[in-house]
Amino acid sequence: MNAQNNNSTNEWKEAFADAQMTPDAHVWNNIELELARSANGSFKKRILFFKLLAAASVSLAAIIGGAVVYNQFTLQSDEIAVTDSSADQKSLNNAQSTDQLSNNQMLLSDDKGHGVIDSDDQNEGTIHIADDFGGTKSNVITEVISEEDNEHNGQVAMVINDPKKDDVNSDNLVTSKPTYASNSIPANDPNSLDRIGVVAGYDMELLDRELNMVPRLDLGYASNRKSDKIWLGLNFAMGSNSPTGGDTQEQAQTLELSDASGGFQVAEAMVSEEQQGSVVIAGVGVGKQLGQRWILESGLAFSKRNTFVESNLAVANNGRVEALNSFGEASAEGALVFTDNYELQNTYNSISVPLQAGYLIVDGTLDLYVKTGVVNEFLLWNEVQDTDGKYNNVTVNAGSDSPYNVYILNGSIGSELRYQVGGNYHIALVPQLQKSLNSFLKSDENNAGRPLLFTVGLRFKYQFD
Amino acid sequence: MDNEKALIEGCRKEKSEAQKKLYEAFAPKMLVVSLRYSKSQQEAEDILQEAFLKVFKHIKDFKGDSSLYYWIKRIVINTALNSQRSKLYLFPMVDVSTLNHVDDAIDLKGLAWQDLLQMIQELPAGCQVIFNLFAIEGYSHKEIAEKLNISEGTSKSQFARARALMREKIEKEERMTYERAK
Repeated sequence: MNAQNNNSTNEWKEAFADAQMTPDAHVWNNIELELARSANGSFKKRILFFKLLAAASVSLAAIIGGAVVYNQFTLQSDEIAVTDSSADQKSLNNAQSTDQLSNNQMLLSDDKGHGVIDSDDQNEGTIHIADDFGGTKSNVITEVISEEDNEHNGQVAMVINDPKKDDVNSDNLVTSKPTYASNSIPANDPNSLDRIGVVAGYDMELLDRELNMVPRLDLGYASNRKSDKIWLGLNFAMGSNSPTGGDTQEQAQTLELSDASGGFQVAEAMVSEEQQGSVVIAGVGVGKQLGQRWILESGLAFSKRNTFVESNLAVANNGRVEALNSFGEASAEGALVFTDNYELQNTYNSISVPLQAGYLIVDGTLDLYVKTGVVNEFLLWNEVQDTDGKYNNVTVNAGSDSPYNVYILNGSIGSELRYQVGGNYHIALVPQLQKSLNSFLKSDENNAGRPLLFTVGLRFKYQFD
Repeated sequence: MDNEKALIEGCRKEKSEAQKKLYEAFAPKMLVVSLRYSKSQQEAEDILQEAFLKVFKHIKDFKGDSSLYYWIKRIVINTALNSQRSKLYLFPMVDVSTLNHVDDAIDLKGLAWQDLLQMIQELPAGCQVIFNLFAIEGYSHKEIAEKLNISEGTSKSQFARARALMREKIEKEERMTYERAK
């Protein structure tokens, strides 16, 4: 039986051994299109990482910015009042308050850290306050004043004398609510956990919790920034370039083309709209600190934006077959030929001058800025090339005879995470969104095609002293 | 052989030219394979298209243990089986115990592959698949049963039914040829 089956199988196998039939041409065309889409899909996956990184950074900036604004708003109502000494300096020695202060080694905090009163003298002590650079500075507390009267509603005042100054009638008189001494906080006092205590560091539990929620919200840092700081930087960025911000829509037209023998060939020509590509930007930048939190930046950059187009049309130009990237171009060309489907790449080369304002929202080991502005872009040329290299490249210069606009105005928004690597050198991560406000194409009078860039940049900066 | 290696290497690098050459080299034979598992040219071309997309996607995994032809053919057959799976309602059609008596061979001499292909396409879907797998690809009933998740008996009975139908068709064809010759 098996032998018989084997014979039978062999007979059938032999019957079909040389059988073959050529498939219809559309099968390969479909396969080719699917392969092109798949390749484009994998490219999209690669740049998805950059998109996600940029989106995450912008979201982080927004969240932290919101938290900062909220904190600032909250602090305004409970802010430590700095009073005028001429009005409030009443050298009152309140025994109770003095005892509280002297009997308890008290933590005080300025915006940068905290200090310790280490004297048990009833009226005077030395406060050590961490300075900006990890050291301490000492001031002598000459008087600790408490007012139980109605006028100041139980505030405690300390006169802190700078040893270098004899004049106590300056801004050295600091008053606050009597919650400085931790053992004096009434459990049922609604003000006992107020923002002063949190910022000053008296309620350590709450402080830790808040610091964990929004790390490094040391709002006072910015006050130390000099407004005349200038920096120079090298910038490099890459990301995605979405030509229309939407999906590809294929455009098809039935064309009648003459062939070499003088006959006519009628076929459906397909040139897709531009599909998402990549962008690479390199340049130099300059920036200036405008105020405690505001910065202004500009520079000069060279950018290469890629887009991809699928086509089955090419230009026959003096024996060269050149890639064709749009029907608009097709109408301007004399000798068109039908080809197999192929993918071509547009590479728009341009220089740009950005102008951006930034606002410091987090000041710490890592500075975080939100930035917005405009990018003035000047298109130099577009290089059209077949990605498989079958057809010749074409370079289309910008200018009066070009289908492309020379000037493109872009709006930009993003953030910058800056880290001081040492000395005057900084390194920064810069995710950014950039949207063109006018089209690259002159024929696009409605400015429907306005590319959207998602970039993640790396910047090296040198800040002048 | 070197040419085939170059083609494989080109396809691994996703070179369009290499992909097209590989397609042109194997598609005509693979179309006949997919035609044997389908009912129409359109259906066969759909299978072929899907199969070659799999070939290009997975060619990085091709280790060269078997020839490229058989590797591609296996992909085409599996693609065809997957496309047919929803249409297959296989169940025993005859008493399996009687199958040992079905020992009559079919004489294929004088028949063109196109005629045989047409006869195969006219078989019921289940019979068609099992006839292809057993009679042409050379799978055993046990292997077919595992592949299609059916019992071995079902495979045998479906094949017996297919062979009987094929015999009828071939005899009919022979009679017609004989009549024409007279």
